[in-house]
Amino acid sequence: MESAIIDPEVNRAITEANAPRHSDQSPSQWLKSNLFNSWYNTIVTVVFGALGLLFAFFALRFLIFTARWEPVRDNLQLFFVGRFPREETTRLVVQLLALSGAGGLFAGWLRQRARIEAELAGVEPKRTSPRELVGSYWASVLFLVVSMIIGVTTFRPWLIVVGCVISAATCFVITMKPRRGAFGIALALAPLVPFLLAAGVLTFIPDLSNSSAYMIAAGATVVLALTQYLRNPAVTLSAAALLGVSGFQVLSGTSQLSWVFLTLALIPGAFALTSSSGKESSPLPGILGSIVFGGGVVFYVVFNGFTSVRWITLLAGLAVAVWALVSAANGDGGNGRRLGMVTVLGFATWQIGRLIGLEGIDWVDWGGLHLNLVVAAASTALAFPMGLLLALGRRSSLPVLRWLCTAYIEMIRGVPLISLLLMAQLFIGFFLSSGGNSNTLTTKSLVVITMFSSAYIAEIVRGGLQAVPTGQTEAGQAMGMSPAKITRLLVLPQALKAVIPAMVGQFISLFKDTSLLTIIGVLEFLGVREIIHAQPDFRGFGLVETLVFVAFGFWAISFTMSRESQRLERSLDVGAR
Amino acid sequence: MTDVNHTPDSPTEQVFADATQMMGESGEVMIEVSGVDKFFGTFQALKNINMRVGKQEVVVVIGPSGSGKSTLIRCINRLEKHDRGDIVVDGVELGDDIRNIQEIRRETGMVFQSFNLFPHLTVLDNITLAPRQVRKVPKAEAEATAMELLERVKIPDQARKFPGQLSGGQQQRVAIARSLAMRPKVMLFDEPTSALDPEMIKEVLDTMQDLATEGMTMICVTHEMGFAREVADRVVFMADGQVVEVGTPEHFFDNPQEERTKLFLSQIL
Repeated sequence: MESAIIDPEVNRAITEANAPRHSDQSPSQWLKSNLFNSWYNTIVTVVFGALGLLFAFFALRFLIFTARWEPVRDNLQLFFVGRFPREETTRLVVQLLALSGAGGLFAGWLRQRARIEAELAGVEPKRTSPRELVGSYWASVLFLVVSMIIGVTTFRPWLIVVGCVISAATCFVITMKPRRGAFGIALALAPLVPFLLAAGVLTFIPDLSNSSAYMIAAGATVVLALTQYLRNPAVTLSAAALLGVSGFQVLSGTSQLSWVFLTLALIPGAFALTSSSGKESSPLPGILGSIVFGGGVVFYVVFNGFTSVRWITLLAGLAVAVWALVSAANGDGGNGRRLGMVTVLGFATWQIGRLIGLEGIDWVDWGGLHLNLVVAAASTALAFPMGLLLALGRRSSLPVLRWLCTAYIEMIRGVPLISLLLMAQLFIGFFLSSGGNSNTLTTKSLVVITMFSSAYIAEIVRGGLQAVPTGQTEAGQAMGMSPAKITRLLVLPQALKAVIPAMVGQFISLFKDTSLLTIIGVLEFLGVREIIHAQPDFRGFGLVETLVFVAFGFWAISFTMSRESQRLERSLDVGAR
Repeated sequence: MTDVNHTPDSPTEQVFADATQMMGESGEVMIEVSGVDKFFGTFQALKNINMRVGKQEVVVVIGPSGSGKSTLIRCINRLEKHDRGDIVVDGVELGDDIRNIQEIRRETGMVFQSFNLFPHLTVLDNITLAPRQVRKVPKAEAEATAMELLERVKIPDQARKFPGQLSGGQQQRVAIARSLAMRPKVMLFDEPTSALDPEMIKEVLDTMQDLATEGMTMICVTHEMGFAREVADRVVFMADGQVVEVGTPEHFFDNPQEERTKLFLSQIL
């Protein structure tokens, strides 16, 4: 009867029955029952086994003995960061440390949330096993290790990698529950580690053009200490976003393109808003946050004149303010608080960075794999909300909006990305303000890739929206919920969860599409090859080797993304349907 | 129950097809449906429906499938839009005015055949969502109310689970609790037990019976004749989009007047 259905014993039995069988038969028994259990299976095994071995033999012989890795070895820096100014390399190191720290905080945030949810439900929190982590990240780690082995004489990122691991670990550790004893003391002092780390980097590589990285490290220390003191998921997430932004500010400076990175930083906060498990609290921080943010933006625009970038920032600021006020009026203290936290922190970094006056490296000078990752991340962050709005627009009951969205989606989907990129070279300049950073090829390609991906994401999201049963909407309607709330709280969470695999597939193809930037003359990972083979030493030499290296890099990162999405799916599967 | 509209000594003179005569104790009208037509394309699902439901009255609607029972109650909270006629719920006219629609939906709870619980939210969040979002009830208060309701439907220990982890009967009881959390004046049940395994039907019917005893105004579309006989103040029989016969359960089951009703009862009893 009903108690049997929820009986944990029965549940466990069902889980075990569904799990793949790790039987206790010996390897030879396994071979017999799986590979040689019939005459035709034996033929298949032998033929394909022989072919596989042959292929492996030739591949390994090429990779280890025949191949000449000199072009890769001598140009690893070019592959990874393009023509980034040598004397400014420290900025990249600081950025890597900050991003690793942000990653650690993000992992900590996930764990904090899981712990809180498990406590509420009265069950043991689910832990990520080391095996799962290895399964997700081995390809990327292998790529890094191989790069370092190839470049052992020319390129020494060992220290940096160790630094990144320490930074991530520190940030992860400070999100843990308070402890007693020596470990507790170590935990309390942990936030100092990134500061010391950054100081060490600057002492040993003293070529950073200004000392702003010290300030960023000091700021990070304060933020981390705060995170550790408050131990609240919202604070952790905001701190992760903030650290990520500071990482990018070290590169981009504080005046140019800040809005792109600000948007990036706000995305995790916006994600958190869609969950309805927020605790009730005062909406005041949200209102204050939006006033500070909106006011600061207005101040900035008024005293610095109007350009298109500032207009966009102004509109974004106002939108955030209106959103916070509306959510406060709706009594959603939790959302208002999170929004306030994210906006205040994001705005504070931006403004503090501006006051420090950190000079940026124009992103015309960015390149290599670094640029692919930046463009892919920025396009993903911008295309996702845009695709979401397009999908909702395409299902809207307002005909004009529906037609516009449909026309946009179908037009973009009907044109190859390459032709859009070539068009961008000619057209987009008309729409962006002249001068500075906004009119470069890199910016244009970012805009094009974002537009392109958003159309595909819109179709993926639309599929997800259609998969949510109408009964869900009806249940919401029957209780008097408004259409906007039904969409935001009932339909979208279910729709987005259903399309994670397709969405990640789109993000992977977006990442790979960044290799097309070469065609319009942006120096990215694949395009680096052309420069290498134009060098006198390597003209017509090692063409296959460089290509294999680039392909390996793209594969490693795409594979990691795919494995991570599978892990995300599994972790979201708890208790649903 | 005081039987005001019906005199036992002259049953044959009763105009049974008139569903506008209420059996409620107070005599106050809660729902008034007059001359309602509903079309799906060219198919007419409801033909000139007239019906009145009094405060605290329990009306059970039965009939063969495709007779328009579900359509009728879905029109009452505007999940379907009626094409002609008037529907008034607790003094509020149901028209195209979105404010009126929302007001009626707030006062009207609905329980669906397929439960329609929100699979991504816990049981507790399912119940507190609408009160918090629509009625702006603070979280602590909403959760306290939700726990009370879960006590009432006898599954307080399931509060932190997800709907997918519950049995069908438990899910439907959560759905009832979820509707009650809005403190509705009327409850509409759309075949609440049709998707359940036989051994789970009773727990849901018991919950509904408790609700009726507490004085909730209810319209139930159901195939549970035992429930209709025991709990209903009035039984409405529909066929082909029309109200064919109306009466107290005793009259309806023991002494039906119309041929169509007799045929239907002979097939199911």
